[in-house]
Amino acid sequence: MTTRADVTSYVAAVRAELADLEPDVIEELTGGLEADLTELAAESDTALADRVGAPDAYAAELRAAAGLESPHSRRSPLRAVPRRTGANLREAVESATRSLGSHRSWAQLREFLVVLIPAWWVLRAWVAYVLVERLFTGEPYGALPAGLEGWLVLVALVVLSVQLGRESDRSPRWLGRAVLVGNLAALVALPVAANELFDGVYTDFAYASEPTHPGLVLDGSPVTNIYAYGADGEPIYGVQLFTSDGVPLAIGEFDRFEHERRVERVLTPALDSKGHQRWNVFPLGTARMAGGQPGTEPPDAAPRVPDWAESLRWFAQPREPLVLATTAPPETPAPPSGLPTTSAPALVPTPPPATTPPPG
Amino acid sequence: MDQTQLLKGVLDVAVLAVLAREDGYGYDVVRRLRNAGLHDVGDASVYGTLRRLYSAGALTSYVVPSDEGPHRKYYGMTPSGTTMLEQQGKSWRSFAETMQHLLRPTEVRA
Repeated sequence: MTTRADVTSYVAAVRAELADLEPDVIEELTGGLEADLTELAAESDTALADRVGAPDAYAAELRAAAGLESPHSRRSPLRAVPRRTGANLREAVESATRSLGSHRSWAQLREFLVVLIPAWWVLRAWVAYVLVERLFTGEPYGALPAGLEGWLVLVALVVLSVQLGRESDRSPRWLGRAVLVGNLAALVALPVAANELFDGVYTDFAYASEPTHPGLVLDGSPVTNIYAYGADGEPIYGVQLFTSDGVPLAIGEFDRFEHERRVERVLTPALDSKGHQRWNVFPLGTARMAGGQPGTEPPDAAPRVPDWAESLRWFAQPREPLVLATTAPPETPAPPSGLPTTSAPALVPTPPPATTPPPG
Repeated sequence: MDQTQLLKGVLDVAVLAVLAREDGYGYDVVRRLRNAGLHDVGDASVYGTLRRLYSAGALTSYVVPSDEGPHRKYYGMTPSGTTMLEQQGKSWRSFAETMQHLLRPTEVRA
């Protein structure tokens, strides 16, 4: 004989099975249940569970008939999406991870990967876009389209990919195989596409880190000569330049020659007292290369090399004299021994380059 | 053929048909369906169907206090439910006719 208490506990068990639902939904589903079951119980002596089944089965039937989701899919809305869609990929992921073992962490990894499946749909569409872009335009491209057409292609590919993924459990076998091949191809092409994506970055980086023009450079352009003036505005000859580390500020080896209008010219270095060439002594002279040793030939290129002559001519013009705060040079501490500033050999007196035409 | 499989498709219209005659509470609907011949109908299936039809606006519900026990929850038709019953009844009759036609004994041709 079923008692009132039996009915109450049965209804409580059913309600417990539905505990994940909203309270008003539970009330809708089970309101009046007690009265109905009491009536049902009064009809016969059979135990309640024998008449209507176990509470969990009863609750599951209630859900199904009411069109409510099962508690498993309700617990995580994200899980519900791949559960209904992307069945092929999901099965692949699940079988792959299942073969690794049944440990709990693998199950978690499985769930994690399954959630990522839609992201893969978008990613493979992007890979396809990059390949299509390269095949049909052959132009350098970025990660994302630059123009409207490119965006249309990309969006269309994403829609296509996602739809293929969503319908994969319903698609015919041949399509499933084609998608599988496409997935593998996308997987292979992914590094290629990613490499192309970062290519521009690498190139920029390489340009930036590559040693620039050897020698003296100002804002990226080589400096081939330096014209120094004293505070009085008069040109100074034989200026020896060094860096703060004592390195000679010498012009680059490749800047010592110049080809222009079929005339090969060279810059001529100063010579120190030991006869060494000094490329950090300015201004450097110029000479026309005439088959012989540069620098030995008298620099007589003035009439034939007007631009150099010009530059040397304006060098000879005085500049505006400076108004210095102190006329005396600042007190300098005794430099450490060995620095070239103290040991720079005396120069052989060099006359102003003969290429300097007389003023006027 | 298993009656429960057949019932799944027609439980909505069956419940509507029962309630169209007279309002009823859950177990009352179950009993009337069984008395009509649908012996395999599940209690919970009927309750769930009632709830779904109620959510869809096909049914209205009200609680009737009872002196001797828990309150009873009665269901009744709404105009929308009546329309639904007409449409589904129509499609059922057409379906049943087709099935009947399909299943009739092969006639011997003259």
